[in-house]
Amino acid sequence: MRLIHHTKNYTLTGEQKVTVQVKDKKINKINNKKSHVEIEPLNEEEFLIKGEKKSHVGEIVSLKQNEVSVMINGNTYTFTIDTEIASKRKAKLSKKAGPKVEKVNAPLPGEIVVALVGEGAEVHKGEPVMILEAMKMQNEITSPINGKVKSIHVKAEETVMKDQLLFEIEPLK
Amino acid sequence: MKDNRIPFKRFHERNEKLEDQYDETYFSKQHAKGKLTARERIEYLMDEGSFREIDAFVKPAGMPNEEKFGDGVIVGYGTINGRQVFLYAQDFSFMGGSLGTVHARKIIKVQEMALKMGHPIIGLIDSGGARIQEGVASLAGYAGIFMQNVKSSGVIPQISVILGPAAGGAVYSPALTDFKFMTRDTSYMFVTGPDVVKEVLNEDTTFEELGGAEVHASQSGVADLIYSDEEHTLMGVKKLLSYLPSNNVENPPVTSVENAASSKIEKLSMLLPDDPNKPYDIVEVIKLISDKDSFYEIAENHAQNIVIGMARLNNQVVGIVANQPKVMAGTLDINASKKAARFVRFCDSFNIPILVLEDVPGFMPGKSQEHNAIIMHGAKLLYAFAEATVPKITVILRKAYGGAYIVMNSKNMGGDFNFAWPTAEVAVMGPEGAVKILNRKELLSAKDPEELKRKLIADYKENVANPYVADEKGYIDEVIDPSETRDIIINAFALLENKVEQNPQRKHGNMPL
Repeated sequence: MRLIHHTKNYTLTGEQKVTVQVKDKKINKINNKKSHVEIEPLNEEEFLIKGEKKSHVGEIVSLKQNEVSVMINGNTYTFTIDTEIASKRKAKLSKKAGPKVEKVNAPLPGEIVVALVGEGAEVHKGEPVMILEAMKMQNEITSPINGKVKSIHVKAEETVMKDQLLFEIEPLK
Repeated sequence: MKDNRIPFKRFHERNEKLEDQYDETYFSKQHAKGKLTARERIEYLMDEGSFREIDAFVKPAGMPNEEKFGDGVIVGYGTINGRQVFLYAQDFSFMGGSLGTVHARKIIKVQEMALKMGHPIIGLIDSGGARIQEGVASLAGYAGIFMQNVKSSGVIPQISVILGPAAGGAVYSPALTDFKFMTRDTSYMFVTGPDVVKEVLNEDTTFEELGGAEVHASQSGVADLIYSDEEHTLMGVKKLLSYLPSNNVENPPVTSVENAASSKIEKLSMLLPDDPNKPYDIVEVIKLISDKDSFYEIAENHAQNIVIGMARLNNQVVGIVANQPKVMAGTLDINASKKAARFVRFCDSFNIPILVLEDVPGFMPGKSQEHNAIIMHGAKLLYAFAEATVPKITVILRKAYGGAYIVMNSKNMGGDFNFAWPTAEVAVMGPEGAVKILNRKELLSAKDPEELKRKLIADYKENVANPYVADEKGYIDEVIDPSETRDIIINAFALLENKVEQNPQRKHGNMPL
């Protein structure tokens, strides 16, 4: 029984979509074009990326399951890596679902201290949107997705109940 | 070389017939759904060429003329990173992976073997449920699987990997096992499907909303680990297994990495914000204390106010239970208590020492918590810590108030070592609350109550809410410098290697379930 091929296709989805073919653990094709990029570790944290003409030094900032942030030449790139099957499946599903507005409710009863951003502001996943004081703690309420603040439903010094709607984030197109 | 003597001819023919069963259509059907086949999953999970299939040639009950072998499940054994495991993988391509009597018998057989020989068992689940054609016999099959699950509980690690539907009776086998993995978008678990929900309750819902991976990982807490695709899910299983012993007699596997400490360990002293009412991320503390890249968080999207997971300290496995001040101020509520209690009991079953990192303002107050029995659920965590006989160490980083202080493995609840950072606040309640109760009359009659309150709070912090009172009374063993935490805990766990503690003999305790 030998089912796993040593050539594998991945889709990297960040600001743009890139397909990468890996053959015997080396990058073989990028966007279906033959390419010769080699990556070798320099030390514990940094890697040397050897392209055809230029070389760059890069670092993995965070790696969580298939969500990756890397820093190359001072720029941070965030993307997800999917296998061929998973990316096809996701493409099918996202056509059906369409972008979904995320509603954020109060995790516990308390008082709003301040809204850190206004309506229309762009926020990243995990970025604090407002501070809710509860259990004597200045709790940061963060955005669940990358997107734009669609609406804010509470104001500073307002007392909120658990599960009360605080704000809505719509995904960027 | 093929041996073509007469007795071998039939042997080869049979094997070829089995291979032929896994043709192009077998693969393409599952791939079209965005899923892998049972055979591919096994190959991803197991060490190359190590898997041996048993009972491959069985036929479904009452269908002697059926062409296909196996009755919709592949069972056997092999190695994962060199360690023996037993495995069953349901095959959706045969009658929707439905569970008939023969199918169930095969699963029970490997469950029995795994228990007898003391190796972990992994179930790859992708099944439409009980086989209706076989009636009550298939239900009895489920019962047999559940019985084995319960018998094996706490003896061998049991892992369920949901890679497709698991509905009705099928959900209870995973529920009885130690860890449940799910894959986003392709796996579902529910007791009754959307059709029945619609019919009985007239409520519209979808597979995903009702029992998708996302829902079970965040809301219900049924799924311990979820991943975006099957390859990652199976890699997660391998990773988890690397922390677990093969059975309750063995100790967890030890690695041999030199200089495993994080290179940024001195950051520990600077991590806590100056203002005790500002949150910080406990995961950063865990990562700094434990061996580099060794922390493996479990159930990270459910009850995020408590963090649990496996890590290594100087190459030895420990289970970590830590309050998360970043979420709901790190309070203990019903879900957090349940999540941590189950994890503590798992660690205790499998000889995994426990490290508690404490920063908890208290139990969550309020009507909703009380009416949903925070008393009973909180008691679960209390019970789990008190009952655990593995080495248990607590480090109080900041808040340790009231009942929550007691629960989080305090000295008198059997904590073997209890340390505190200089930033710790150990008291019955927080300064504001305590001052209001203790000085109610004075505050009422004061000319400037706000000013008096500020002064009283400062006094309380100075005299009560610090680690020194508890230290001087022996409730804390030592107040330590944060930057030395890792070395001190490693040494303490080394001292505890020979710890022997036993609970009294009994049939079983009566845990507040």
